[in-house]
Amino acid sequence: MSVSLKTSYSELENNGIGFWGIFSFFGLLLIGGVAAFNYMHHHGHYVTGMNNQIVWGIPHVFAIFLIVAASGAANIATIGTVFNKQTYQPLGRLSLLLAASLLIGGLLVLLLDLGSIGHVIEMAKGALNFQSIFAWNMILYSGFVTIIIVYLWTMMDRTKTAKSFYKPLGKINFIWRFILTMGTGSIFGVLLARQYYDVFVMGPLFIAASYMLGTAIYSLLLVTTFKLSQRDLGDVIIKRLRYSLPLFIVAVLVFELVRHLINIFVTEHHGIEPHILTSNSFSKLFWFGQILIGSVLPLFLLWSGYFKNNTVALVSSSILIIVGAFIQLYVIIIGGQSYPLVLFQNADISSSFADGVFNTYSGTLPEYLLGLGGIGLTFCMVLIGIKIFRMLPTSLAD
Amino acid sequence: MIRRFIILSLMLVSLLGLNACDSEPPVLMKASQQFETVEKRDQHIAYMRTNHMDALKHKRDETMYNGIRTEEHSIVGCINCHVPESFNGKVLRHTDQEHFCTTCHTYVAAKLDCFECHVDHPMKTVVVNNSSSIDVKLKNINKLNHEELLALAFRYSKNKDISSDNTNHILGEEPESGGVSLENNIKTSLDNPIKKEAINE
Amino acid sequence: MNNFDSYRRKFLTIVAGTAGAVATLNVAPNLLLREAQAKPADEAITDAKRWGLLIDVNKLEDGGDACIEACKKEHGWGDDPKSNQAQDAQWVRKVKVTEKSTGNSFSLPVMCQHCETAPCVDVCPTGASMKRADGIVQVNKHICIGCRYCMMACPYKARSFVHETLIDQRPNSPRGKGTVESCNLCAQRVDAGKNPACVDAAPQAIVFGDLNDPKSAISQALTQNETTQIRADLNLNTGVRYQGI
Repeated sequence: MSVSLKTSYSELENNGIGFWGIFSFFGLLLIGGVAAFNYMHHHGHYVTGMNNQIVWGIPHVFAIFLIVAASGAANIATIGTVFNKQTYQPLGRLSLLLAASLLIGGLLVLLLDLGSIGHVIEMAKGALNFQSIFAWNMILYSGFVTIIIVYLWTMMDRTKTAKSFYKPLGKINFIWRFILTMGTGSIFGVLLARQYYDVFVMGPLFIAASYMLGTAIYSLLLVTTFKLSQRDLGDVIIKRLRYSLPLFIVAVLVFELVRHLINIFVTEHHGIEPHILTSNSFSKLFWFGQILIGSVLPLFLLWSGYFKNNTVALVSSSILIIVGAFIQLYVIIIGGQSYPLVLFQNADISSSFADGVFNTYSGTLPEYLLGLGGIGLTFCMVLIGIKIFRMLPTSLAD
Repeated sequence: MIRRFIILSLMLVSLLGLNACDSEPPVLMKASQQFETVEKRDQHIAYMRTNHMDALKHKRDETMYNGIRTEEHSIVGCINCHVPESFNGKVLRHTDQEHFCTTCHTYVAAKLDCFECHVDHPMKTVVVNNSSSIDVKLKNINKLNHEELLALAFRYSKNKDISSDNTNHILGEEPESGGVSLENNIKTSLDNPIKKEAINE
Repeated sequence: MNNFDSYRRKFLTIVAGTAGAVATLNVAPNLLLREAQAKPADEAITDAKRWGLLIDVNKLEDGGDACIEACKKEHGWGDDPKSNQAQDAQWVRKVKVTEKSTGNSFSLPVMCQHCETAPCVDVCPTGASMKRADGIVQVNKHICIGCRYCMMACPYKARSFVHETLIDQRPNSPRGKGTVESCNLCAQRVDAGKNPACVDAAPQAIVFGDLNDPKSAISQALTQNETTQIRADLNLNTGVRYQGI
């Protein structure tokens, strides 16, 4: 018998200025995002910092951040369902709600940045190239949302039919997430032209990053909502979340190490490593942002006895991890594009089209607004979800 | 009882919406080139009313994937007939209400996507390069200059009776089958005899 | 049509026909073997031909400047007023290469290489980035959603994105905001039996023709001379080959 039958869930009762204030904040972000889209779409992408050298910019960093997080956020539910950890089972509904919201928010940013969004209707009418990993990702993302909806139904509906699908859906979700995140990483991994991307390990790296980021965001959300709705959050769960995060951080570090080592040892990719690791522009972001703030510091806060209070440790590390993951994606996406394409080995090249030079990029306001709009949509959906549906357990005391 | 009455009155009120169904379509700008006979014109209008979208979508695929570039497959052909070169002294674009395509599209509030990429008015380009014939949009043979006459003569040197053409423009972007390249080369070689080996490939 | 016009027409036809006959006799052999015959406008292209370019860098004194100007004139790119320099579209560009060890340098025009196994075609989610049966790689802008993934994938940076609203495009070269574009080997001209614009701008240095035909000038030049592809290590089997780099 699963714990979910014994746990009672209830809608969020908060109705005061606190809830509506927070909701309005994310609502405003969403409106800002839509306005930014309108502006970018009407004028064209010349209003952005993206150009023919850096073709993917801040909106894509936000979008991939949200999508990678979505995949990992659903992991909490998986641990409960597939791995039968009873402590995690009450957390499942919120986990799935968060995952779906993150994914939809990320997809929105990705879609709204498209140059010719009207032609997406052609895609819906059948123009899909199945040799493209991008097209497969579109299918995987839509499938993920569908699976989550069905999975949520099996959790929330008390009939026998629903419960009979609970375990199978859990397993399907688990496998689908692997394929999805592998696919997201492979968007970069298949680009043989770019030195920073053309390695197989991009897929596994993104899988590890999704676990790390998804758990961090989930933890933050759980603690915040329970605190603001005055529900009990027992130490057992906090401890579990606190000690699962370091494992994921270490996994990410391992895959990053593997990736950089591959690049250093493969002669073809020699040029990119000094650029990322030692040049000023991206190395600062990499070492201070991703490694120090995003990995080492959280590891220290989580593992050492420095923070006796589990909640404080969890919250602070989660925030640091989120910042670090954002910077990691920035370095991957923008840093990878900043390196010039090598047309001729052992030669310096120059042209009127920025050959042979390191490309620079600075995001403009519309791009940031668009990215934040995705975050706005995500949390608007989460807030509506926990308000209308019984997503949050009434109490998670030990 | 009251509920039924309310529903019925709402349905009756909604009939007022029929006002919006205008049986008269908006008046379209007259094409700058007309068919010879009214019969041909009516045929064309009837065909277009049914097949407007098919013509646009299906034929564009044939052009893109199969390289089929007949007059009927070319949006330039449509534009050259339906949009005048100048209107009240300036160029008529799809952002102006009188533009042939814009009239209906504004009426049905469907955004025009074509003119993001395709030019929305005839561009009279007289381009003479080494291996090309002269590409000129013409209305009337009387306006031809010497070079254009020559090119015209080559194109129709196979005893084609031009008077049977039901379109007035003589030379378009799309070449006839087969003969153009040979004629091009003849013309080019007449102008540039020393470059003959360069134009072979 | 009045009588004078038809008389004028018939007269000119006779004159032109005679002149044509004389000219043909003078230059007949090469012309009659001209291979880029215009296909009929209503006939579909087939994979019987594979179009290719051979650029002899040594014979290009200006490194391709004339070609670039011809391409600009043909397709109408090069003047995007609102885009900054990094956002301007460039279908073909002159790349100056300086070897690090010897200090030798040369310049060459680089455009879409029309690869046989084009990475851009592989990655396009809608199939807008496509390869025609005759080997020309182009963007079907009707279904291009503007995701720029093909730009990430191209090893030659051949693709450009249009960052602003365009007007007065060339009738035979549609290009528009929010879609990706690149050299399409002047597909419209090729279908009409003409050479690409760059070939005509530098006929002494660039050969255009059918790679599948062993008797074509380009195939013969490829067998007789030492030619290479840019980034041959990627095994893309490009349709654009270079001589002298």
